Amino acid sequence: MSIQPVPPPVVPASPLPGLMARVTAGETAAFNELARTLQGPGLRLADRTLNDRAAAEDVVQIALTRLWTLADRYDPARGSVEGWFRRIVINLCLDRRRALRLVAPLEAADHVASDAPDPYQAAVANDQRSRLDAAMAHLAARQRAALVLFHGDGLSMAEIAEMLDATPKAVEGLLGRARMELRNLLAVEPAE
Amino acid sequence: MTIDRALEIIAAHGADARRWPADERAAVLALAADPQVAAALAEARDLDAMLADWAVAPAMGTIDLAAITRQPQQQAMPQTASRGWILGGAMAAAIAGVIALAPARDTTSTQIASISSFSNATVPSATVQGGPTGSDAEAFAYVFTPTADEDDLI
Repeated sequence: MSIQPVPPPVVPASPLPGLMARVTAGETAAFNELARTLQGPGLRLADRTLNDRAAAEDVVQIALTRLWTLADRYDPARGSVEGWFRRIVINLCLDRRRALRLVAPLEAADHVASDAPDPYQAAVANDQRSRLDAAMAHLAARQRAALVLFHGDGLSMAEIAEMLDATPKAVEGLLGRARMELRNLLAVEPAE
Repeated sequence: MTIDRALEIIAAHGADARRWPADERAAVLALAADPQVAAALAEARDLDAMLADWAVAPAMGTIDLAAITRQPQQQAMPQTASRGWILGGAMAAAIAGVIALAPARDTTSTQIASISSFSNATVPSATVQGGPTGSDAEAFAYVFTPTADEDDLI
């Protein structure tokens, strides 16, 4: 009996390049479909980088506007549509870093109500999440961007370096300092 | 691989070995039993879990797509003719400007590049005495070797 080699799984081709080509041709239906795919990850990236939901919405609105109005500047030879859009979002976020709100004190996140089914577990999770959010507010936008790109989008150091116009070594340092600051901030016991 | 480098990698990349640099992964794993490295890995695991939750949680927001598509699309400028003419015109204008603004030569004494603001440019590379009618010194002045600061200006 011979063993047949298992064929590799077939990975469906991404529909985004085709959609982008139609967007470049001015098709609004293609733009709407592309925007629906990109806006969720874009909002997440902008929200985590800016730590500000309203500003994140503004950024994604502007980024999608650029994707539509400047569609013919997209060059498939230089990278994916997602990568191009991600870079627009990151650049807009970092341009806004001076306009960020003042950071909230870490202690402000101590007592957060929850309506989850298991009150104790939910309160613990909610408290941890709120403390992390408050700690994030103390980091620089570039540090948060590096964290969300590494832990959320799973990008490599080299890919993050390209997004942030830095070297992979610099990104490693950026992430290392960000994680150290977070550890220190989260280690501080909340004030009673 | 040193302990310090292993700690540096864990501090930046976290505890998941799949995210470590491929060329250093095996060496860091070989140090995993070291008490310092083991402690760093345990600490990094907790933070990794928190960061994974933080980074992937969906963000809500409202985007007005209709407002976007109401805007006209911009057409990029052709790469060939137009840009070439604009660049060429700009360069020609710059050269014409430099020629027009160049000071007329002194008829009695020509001093080349004596700029007091440069610390090492106080001594000019060449000085011409005499009239403009064509002495050896003047001929020399046109073929002088510039100083470093003059070179920068050129």
